[in-house]
Amino acid sequence: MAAPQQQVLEAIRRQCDSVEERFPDYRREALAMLADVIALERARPHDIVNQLEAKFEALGNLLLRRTAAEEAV
Amino acid sequence: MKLRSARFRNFKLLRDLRVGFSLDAQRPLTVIRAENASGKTSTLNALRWGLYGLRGLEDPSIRLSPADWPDGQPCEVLVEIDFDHTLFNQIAGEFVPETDSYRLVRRVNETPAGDRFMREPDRISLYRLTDVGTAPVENPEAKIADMLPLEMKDIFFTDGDAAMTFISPQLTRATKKDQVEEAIKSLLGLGVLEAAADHVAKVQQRFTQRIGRQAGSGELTEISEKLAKRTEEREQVSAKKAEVVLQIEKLGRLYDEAEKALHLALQVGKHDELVERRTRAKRQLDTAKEIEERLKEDHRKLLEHESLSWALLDAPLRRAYEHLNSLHDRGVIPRTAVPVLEDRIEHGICICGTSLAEGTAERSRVEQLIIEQRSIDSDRQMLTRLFHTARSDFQERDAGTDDWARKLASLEKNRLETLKMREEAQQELRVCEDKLKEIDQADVQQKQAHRDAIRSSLGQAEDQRKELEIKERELHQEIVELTEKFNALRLADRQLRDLNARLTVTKDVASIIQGALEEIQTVYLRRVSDRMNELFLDMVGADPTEKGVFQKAIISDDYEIIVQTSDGRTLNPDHEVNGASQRALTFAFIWALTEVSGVIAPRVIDTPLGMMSGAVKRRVLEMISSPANLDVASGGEPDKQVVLFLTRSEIADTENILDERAGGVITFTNSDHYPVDLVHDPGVDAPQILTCACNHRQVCEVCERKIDADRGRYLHRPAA
Repeated sequence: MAAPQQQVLEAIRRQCDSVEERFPDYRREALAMLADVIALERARPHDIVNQLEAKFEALGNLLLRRTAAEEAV
Repeated sequence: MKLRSARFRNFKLLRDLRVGFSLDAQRPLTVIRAENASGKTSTLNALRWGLYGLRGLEDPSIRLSPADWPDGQPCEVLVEIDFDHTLFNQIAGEFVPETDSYRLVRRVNETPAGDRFMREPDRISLYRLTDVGTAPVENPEAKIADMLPLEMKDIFFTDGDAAMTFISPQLTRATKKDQVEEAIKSLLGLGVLEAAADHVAKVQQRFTQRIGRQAGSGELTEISEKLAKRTEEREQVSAKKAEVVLQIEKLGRLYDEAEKALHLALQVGKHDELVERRTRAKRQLDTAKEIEERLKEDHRKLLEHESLSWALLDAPLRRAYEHLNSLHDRGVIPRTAVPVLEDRIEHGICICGTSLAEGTAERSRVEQLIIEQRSIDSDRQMLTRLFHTARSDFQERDAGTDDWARKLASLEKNRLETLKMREEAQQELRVCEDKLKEIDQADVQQKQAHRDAIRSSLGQAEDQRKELEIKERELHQEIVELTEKFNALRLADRQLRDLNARLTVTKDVASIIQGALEEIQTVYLRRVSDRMNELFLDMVGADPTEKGVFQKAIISDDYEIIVQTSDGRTLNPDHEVNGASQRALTFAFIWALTEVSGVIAPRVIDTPLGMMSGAVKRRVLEMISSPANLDVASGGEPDKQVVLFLTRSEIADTENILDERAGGVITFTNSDHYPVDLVHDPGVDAPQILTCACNHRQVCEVCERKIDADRGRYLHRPAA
């Protein structure tokens, strides 16, 4: 499967800007997540949904930690 | 990807040959000058085989080794390609380009055996070239597929006629649309995003179900289950809809094919129209025959008419009449003497006063005179009658009321016109009957029935699709409402914090992917369409502000390439756009797609300027060889590479463009063209493609052809 081209990646970056900044640098984390998703899609492992789930769990945990930290401050 | 160089060994007549390609973005063009049968197509196929193996070839069953390779002896065919490839890596929130150099080597052993050959599986190796040496790359096929997918081979490695892939009259409308859609999605790399959207949705569903299961609230559990059920239902409906859409596409293709077959069967004219024309011709023929019969009768009557005698005897009759007139003028007719003489006898006295009494000699003389007069009076009576009749007839004739010649001329004119009408009707009748004979009515009816059956199935499938779309919308709406309720409840439940957080980030990422997909499919499609229009109008020299034939070329939302005229008509690119413009339209599409996508890849085209001449040829070459424009924001390509295989006649009159744009020119010569076309004996044992460094303005002892002297436009380059 062809790698997304620069224009597509630019579109992804623009879309990232439209999500809520749930903690400082959240959008940056989301973009990194997207890069991981694309890398996984290009590698096409057979258990891709499980691997994605693990990555989203990690990002979800980060969200919890960072928002808890924000609240504590 | 940019090609650095390629080496070919024993690929057809490319026995041992190396080609370097221009890497200069400002002179992005490499020209391989070669006449017919001089290795152009072999080189194109060799590059395609090198990159994609047999899947890259139009006909994978072709023999790759030289045709004269001895039977029973294995021949190693080898293609080695050195190239650079740029990948965008996500580093600290930015997509940063990173370029690496690679060497691809594909080889295969073929052993000829008479007309056949044995071919072993081919072997491919890919190496990354670094400053310290070479490093093998694992899974090279997948890596190449990643860099330049197979489905792009028609875009980047094109032979002149196959350049029409996207608009070729040989393809059905549905196939062309599929190819345009496939090319756009493939070139933009949308497949990855579509797959990602699907997989992220699955993860989202998992989190939703887990939230439902773990929730303490009965209502949350109920909504969660309902949500999962509706989501599943929607997936089923979407999958069914996708099946129906596929079925519609398939039926659309079948319908196009059936319509084409019917059109071919009816090519000599539509049967019903021909029958109608034949009936009209028969009616016209009957009318002509009726008129002809009536005119014949008129002709017969005219021949019996008195006026014919007049026409034939006019001169002698006129002379006779003139004589009678003269007799009349002289008083010879009408007769008047006998009654006067009888009157005088009765009165007994002559008009001169002499007595005409009984017994007188004078009376006897008058009586004798009366007898004499009576004997000649019958002649005068007849002459008098003739005179009066002739006078009346001539008066009538001279008044022009009965001109036989005029009547005859009018009749003949009418008969000629009727004859012409009859001949035309007969001719039309013959044409219609001949054409009707050519149409195999049973075949046509069968084809019509087949097409109508497909149309009916297509209609049913469309109805089904609409129903599914409605169902899908309803489910979507229900899911949105359930999700809102679900979110409200789950947020209230602190125990679900972990899962909530996971679901939130999954949803954010899903919305980013979905938004990007929508943006690309709308914004980029429009950009490709606009750029294609600009390039196409430039190449064909059309000014949209003037009343030229071509006003606009667009890609519709359903990926169809459409050409519009200044009067708002839509031209069918298959039939209403000439060959050169079709080619220009295809190049405009490929170039627009490449520019907008930002893909850097070589565009290798065999005989691109065939079917073109004059200003169009020059403009097309100028467009496809234009330097890279680093200003991407203004629609430019940051880097580019174009390899053209051109014959001498394609090069003619474009030399100054090549002077400016070609970063490299090489000439291919087939040694087998000596002595018929080549001037000098190449001195090789086996036929093969030779190369020399001659550019488009030069010839040397290797490449000089007999026809070059006649053209007198080439400089002699000393042999190396």
